[in-house]
Amino acid sequence: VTEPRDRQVAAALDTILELGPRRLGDDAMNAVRELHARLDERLDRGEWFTVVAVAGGTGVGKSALVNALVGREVTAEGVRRPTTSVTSAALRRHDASSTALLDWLEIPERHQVGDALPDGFILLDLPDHDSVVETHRRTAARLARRVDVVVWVLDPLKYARADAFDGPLAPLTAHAAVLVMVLNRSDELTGEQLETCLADLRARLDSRGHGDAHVLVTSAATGEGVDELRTLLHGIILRRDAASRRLTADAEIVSARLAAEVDALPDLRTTTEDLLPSVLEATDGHRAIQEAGQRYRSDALRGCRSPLAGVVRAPLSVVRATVAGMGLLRPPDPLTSSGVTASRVEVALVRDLGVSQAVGRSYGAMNRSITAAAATAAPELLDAVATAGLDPGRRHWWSALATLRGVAELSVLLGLVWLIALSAGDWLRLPELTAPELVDGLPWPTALILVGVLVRLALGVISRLGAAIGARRHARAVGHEIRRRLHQVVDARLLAPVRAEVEDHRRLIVAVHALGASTGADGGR
Amino acid sequence: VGAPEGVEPLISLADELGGLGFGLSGSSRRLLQEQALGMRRLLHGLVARAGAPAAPLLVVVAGGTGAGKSTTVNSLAGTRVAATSVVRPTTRAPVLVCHPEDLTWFEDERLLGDLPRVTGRDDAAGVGRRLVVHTSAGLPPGLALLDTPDVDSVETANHRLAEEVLDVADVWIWATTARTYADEVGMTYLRLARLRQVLTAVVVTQVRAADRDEVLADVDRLLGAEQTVPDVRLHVPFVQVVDERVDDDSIAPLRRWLTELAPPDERAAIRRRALRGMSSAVPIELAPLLQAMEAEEATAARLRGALDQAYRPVHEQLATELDTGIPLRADVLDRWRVLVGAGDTLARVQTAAHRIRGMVRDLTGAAGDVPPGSPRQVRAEVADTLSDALTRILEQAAWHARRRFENDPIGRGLLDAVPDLRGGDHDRPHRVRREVDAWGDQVASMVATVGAERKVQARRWSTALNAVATSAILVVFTVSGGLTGGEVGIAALASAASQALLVRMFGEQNLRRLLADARVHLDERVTDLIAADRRPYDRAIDAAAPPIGTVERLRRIVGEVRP
Repeated sequence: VTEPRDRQVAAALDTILELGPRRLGDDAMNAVRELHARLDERLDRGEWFTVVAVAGGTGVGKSALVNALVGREVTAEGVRRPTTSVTSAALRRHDASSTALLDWLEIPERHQVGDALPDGFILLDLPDHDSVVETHRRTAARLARRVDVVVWVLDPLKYARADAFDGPLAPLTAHAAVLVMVLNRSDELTGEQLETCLADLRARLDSRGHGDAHVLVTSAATGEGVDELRTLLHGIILRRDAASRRLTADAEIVSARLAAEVDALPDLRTTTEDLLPSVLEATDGHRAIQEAGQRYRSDALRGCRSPLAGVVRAPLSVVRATVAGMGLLRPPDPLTSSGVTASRVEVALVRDLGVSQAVGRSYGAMNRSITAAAATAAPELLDAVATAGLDPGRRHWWSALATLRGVAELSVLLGLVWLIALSAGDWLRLPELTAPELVDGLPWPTALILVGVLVRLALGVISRLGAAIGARRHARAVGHEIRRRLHQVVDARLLAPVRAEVEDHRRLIVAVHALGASTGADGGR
Repeated sequence: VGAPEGVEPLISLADELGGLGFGLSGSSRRLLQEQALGMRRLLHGLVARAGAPAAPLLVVVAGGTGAGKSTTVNSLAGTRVAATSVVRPTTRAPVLVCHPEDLTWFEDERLLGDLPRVTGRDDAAGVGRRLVVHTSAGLPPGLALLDTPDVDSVETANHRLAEEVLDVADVWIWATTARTYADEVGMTYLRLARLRQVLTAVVVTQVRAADRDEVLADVDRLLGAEQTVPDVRLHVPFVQVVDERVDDDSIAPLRRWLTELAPPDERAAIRRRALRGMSSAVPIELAPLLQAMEAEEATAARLRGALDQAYRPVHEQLATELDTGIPLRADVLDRWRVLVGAGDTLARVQTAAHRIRGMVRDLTGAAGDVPPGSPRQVRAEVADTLSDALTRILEQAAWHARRRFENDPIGRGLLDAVPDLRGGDHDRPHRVRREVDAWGDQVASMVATVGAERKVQARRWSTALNAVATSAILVVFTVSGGLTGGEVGIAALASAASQALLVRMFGEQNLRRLLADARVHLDERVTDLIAADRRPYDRAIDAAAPPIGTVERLRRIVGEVRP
C-alpha cells in the first residue's frame, strides 16, 4: 500500500473493524470486511496491471467489442445465448505478477495477444450478468466487484432494462474514474434515433447516480467508437492507479452506507459534579450523613458523662447488652444492598447523562458499559459512603466537661454527705457540730450542693449545646468526605468507562468519514 | 351468474390476504405487501373469469423491453393501435384491442377494475394508470389482445402494471428476441406461466434468416432445459417494419394459432384449464407469504420475549428492595417506634411532649425539620419511597426494553414506525403513585375488616386505626419471607414495634394472613403497572403482527383449494 489515500482507507478500515462490531449492523460490517480483504489482496498484487472487464447483458455484443479492441478474435461471438460461458482474459504476455492477479480473479482462460494490447492491460470478457445460467450471473457479479475498470455495455434493446441498472452496476455510483458506459450496436439506429436514445440513457444514468461516468457510442460491427474507447482505456491504464481508484470509490460507497447507520455522537457534557446528587441519593448518602450527626451527638453526650454517672448507669447497660444478645433488639440491617444501589445508579446515570434517547445500535456498547459500570461501581460507592468516618472519635472537650461535671456532682455529693453527717450528729445528740460558713448565713455543705447543682445544670446544657453544634459540624465534615470519596469513584468507575465508549464512538465516526473522504487533489476522473 | 364450483375458497383467500400489513418483515415489507396484493388480484381475476365463461379470451402480449410486443399487437390488429419507438420503455399503459362486437365486455370494469378506461387514441403519453381500449375488425370475435408495458422495465410502475395484466390473462403470448431469449428475467415469467399452466405461446421475434435454424433450435433447447416448454413456439422473421407493423405473412402463424382459440367451446375449455392451473399454483405461490407470516409470528414472539426479559426482574427487584428495607428517614422511624411501641397514654404524652419540643424549636429557630411521627406522615413517607423505588425499577426495565428493541432490526423498525415508543413515559410516576396510594387504602380497609371481625374495642380502634393500617404497611415492607416460615422474623427495628402492636390487636394468625394478603395485592398492582408500562410496545407488536390465527386459517383455506 503506497498511495496516501490507500493508507488512509486502510487505516480507517482497521479502526472500523476494531470498533464497528459492537456498534454497526452485521451487513454493514460484512461490507467492511469484504472491502478490507479485497483492498489487501488487490494492492498486494501491484498496480502495474489494470484489469478492465467488459460486462453487460446477453446479446449486447461484449465479445465482439473485446475482439474489436484487441483487433483479433480472442473470444467466440455467436448467435446462441449465452455465448461466453468461460471468462477469458487477453493480455500482452504472461509474467508472474499477471498470473498472480489472474489466479486471484479466478480467470481460467488466458490469451497472450502480444502488441495488440499495451503493457499492463488485462482485458476480460465477462459472462452475461442477466443470463438464465446462474453461474454466469454469479461470476459476472463477482468479477464486477474485483476488477479495476468496468466497461458496461448496453445496446438500444436493453438500455432501459431494470437489471441493467440494478445488477452489478448499481453499487458503482462513485466510480466515474473507472466506469465506462458503452452504448453498443449503434448501427441499429439512425442518427436521430441514436440522439434520442442517448439522451434517454444519460437521463437514466443520472437518476441512478452514474451521471459522471464516461458514455461512449460504439458499434463493434462497423468499428465506430472503438478507437475512442481504446484511447480512453489506454489513458486510464497509463496512470497505473485504476486499482487504487476503484477501491477508493468502493470505500466511498461503504463509507456512505456506514455513515447512514452510525448514530450521531452522544452529547455528553455531564460532569462528575452533576452526577453527585443522584449518586448520593442512590447510595443513601444523606442518611449516612444524618446518622453520622446522630452518632456524634450520642457519643458526645456519653463522652460528657462523668465517671460517676457511668457507675450509676452500669447495671442498666448490662441489661441492655443482655437484651441485645438475645436478639430482641437487633440493629437494622444495612438498608442498601449493592444490587439495589446498582439499579439506582444505573437509572441515575441514564437520567443524568441524558442517554435515554440515545439507545440506537451504535450506542449499544455505551449502554452496556453503563449497566456494567453501575454494577461494578455500586459496592465501591457503598464502601465510600460506609467508611467515610461515621465514627466521630473522642473530643478533648468531652473529657474536660466530664471532669467538670464529675467535680460538680462530687461537690453535690459531698455537700449532701456533709449535711447528712451533720443531721446524723444532731439526731444522735452528739455535741453540736457546726459547719463552717462560706459567707455569712451560707454554710459550706449547702453552698457545695447549691453551687454543684447549678454548675451541673449549666454543664448539662453546655454539653447538649456542644453536642448539637458538634453533631452539625461533624455531619458537614462527613458529608464533605463522602462527597469527596464518591467523586473519585464516580469519576473513575462510572464516567471514565462511559467517556471511553464515547471516545471510541467518536473515533468510529472519524474513521467512517475518513473512509469516504474524496481523493481531493487529483480530481474525480 | 352463480359462482362456479370451487371458487369460494379462492374468494375467502383473497379476503384474508387483504388484511395483511407485514409490519414485522423489515425491509421486505413492501415486497410482501405487493405479493399479497398481487395474489389477491390474481384470485379476484380468476373468480371474475370463472363467472363469465362466455367472455372473450384475454390474450396478453408480454415480454422484455424491445421484444416487439407493440409491433406484434399492431400486426395482429392490422392497424396501428400501440406506439413503438427506440426510446424505452415505449408502452407505459396497457393497450387492449378487441373486435367491435366484444367491446361491451371490456368497457365495464369487471376485469382490471382499478384501471380507468380510455377509448381510442391515447395522447397522454406516460401519465397515470389507465387501460387504452381500441377496436379492430381485423381480430376475430371472442379474442382481445392486450399490449403490456415491459416486464423488465427500469421503471417499477411499468413492470408492476405488466404483472397486474398478466395475472388476469387467459392466454400469454410471450415475445422475446433472438438476442435476449436467454435472459433470466424472461425465464422467471415463463416459469410462472408453467406453474399456473397458462396457455402460452413463445414468439421469437427479429429472427434473421441466416441464424434462424440455429437460434430456434437453441431456444427450444433452452426452454426444454428450463422445463418451460410452451404450448406453441413461433417466430417472426427479421423484416422491415412498416407503419409499426410487420407484413401479414410474417405474423400469419401466430394469427392462425389465435384464431383457433376463438370459438366459444375452445374458450370455455381454456378458461377451465386456467382455473384448474391457477388453483394448483395457489398453494405454491402462497407459500412464501405463509412463510413470511410464520416468520412474523416468530418475530413477534421474539419481541414479546425481549419485553418479558426486560420486565421480568421488576418483581424480584422490588422484593429485594422491600426485604432489605425501605430507606425511611431515621427520625421518622424513631418517632414511629416510640408511638406504636408505647401504650396509648404514654403515646399521647409523648406526642404532646414532642409537639411542645417542636414548638420550642420553632420559637428558637433551631428547627430544621420537625421529625414527623404521625401515622399519616409515616404513610406518606412510605408511599413516597415505594413510588420512587417502583418508578425507578420500571424506568430501568423500560430502558432495557428500549435497548433490546433498538438492537433488534425489526424492533428498530417498529420504533421508527411508532414514534411514541421513543417518546418516554411521562405518566409513569403518577400512575405508580396512584397504584401505591390505592394499595395503601386497600391495606387500610383490610385492616378495618379484620379488626371488625375481631371486635376490637371500639374506643381504641377509632384512635388507632390509622396507626394500625400504617403499621401493617410498614410491616409488609420490612418483614421478609420469614413471616410465612412461621418465625416472626423482623428485618427492621421499626417494624418490631409495629408488629408487636399488630399482634396485640389481631392475633398472630390473622396478622400473617393480613400481611400475606397485603403483599399479594402489592404484587398484583405491580403486575398491572408492568402491563401498563409495556402496553405501547405490546400494542405496536400486535398491530404489526399478523392477526392471531391468520396463518392457520390461510393454511386451511389453501387445503380446500383443489383443482
